Amino acid sequence: MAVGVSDRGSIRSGLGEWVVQRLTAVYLLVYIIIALIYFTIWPISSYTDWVQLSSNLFYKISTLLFIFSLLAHAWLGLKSVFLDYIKPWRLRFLLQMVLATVLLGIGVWALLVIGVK
Amino acid sequence: MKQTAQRPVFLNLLQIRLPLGGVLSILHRISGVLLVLAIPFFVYFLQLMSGGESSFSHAQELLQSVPGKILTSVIIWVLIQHSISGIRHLMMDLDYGYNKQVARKTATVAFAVSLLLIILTGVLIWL
Repeated sequence: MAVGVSDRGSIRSGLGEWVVQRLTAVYLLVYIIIALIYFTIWPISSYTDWVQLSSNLFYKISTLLFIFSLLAHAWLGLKSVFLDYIKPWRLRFLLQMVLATVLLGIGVWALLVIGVK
Repeated sequence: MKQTAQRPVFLNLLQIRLPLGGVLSILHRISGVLLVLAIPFFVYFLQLMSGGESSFSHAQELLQSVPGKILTSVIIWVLIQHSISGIRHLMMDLDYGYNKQVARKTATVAFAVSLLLIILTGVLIWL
């Protein structure tokens, strides 16, 4: 979405980011509420409970989607915080690249923890 | 574009006097930044849970320990604050509560609901 970087940030990416920030917010909320209800009704009281839940495909897909929504939400949120408080754009760009690397790394980590097994 | 560049910008956080909605908004930011720091803990916890039976019970022990409880409650409290102010912002996106008087009311309600949920989860975790 980002087409270029200038002293005012990337130019054409605004509306798409606005939508993604809201959509991920809604998904995160819905996931947390459903998880709360689920764990209230079926608490994880033993290792077998956990194995059963964590090997379920629906759990894996929805949880990975949760983590990737979380990472996207964090990326957009921190980007606008950087945009407001870090004026030198080269420094801001560098920080954004560091952030992107860290968040992508966490995404791969989550993929290995949840997806593979 | 030249005109927009000339606009005055005032972002001195120590001098800005914010209305209640503004306080809520800046809290939303601060809690958001803090929640990013919680992400690695969350994934690490999932990894411990999934690392076999002894690793699973280690994760349970960590969760029950005092430092574990402190960390979980702080994350949950920050998450509550962020979610409630986030819901208010989403409602504003849908054009509800954009009017100044209503915005003030929803800001008060958001503070009250957050506080209530924070107390409730505090009781559930610590008592």
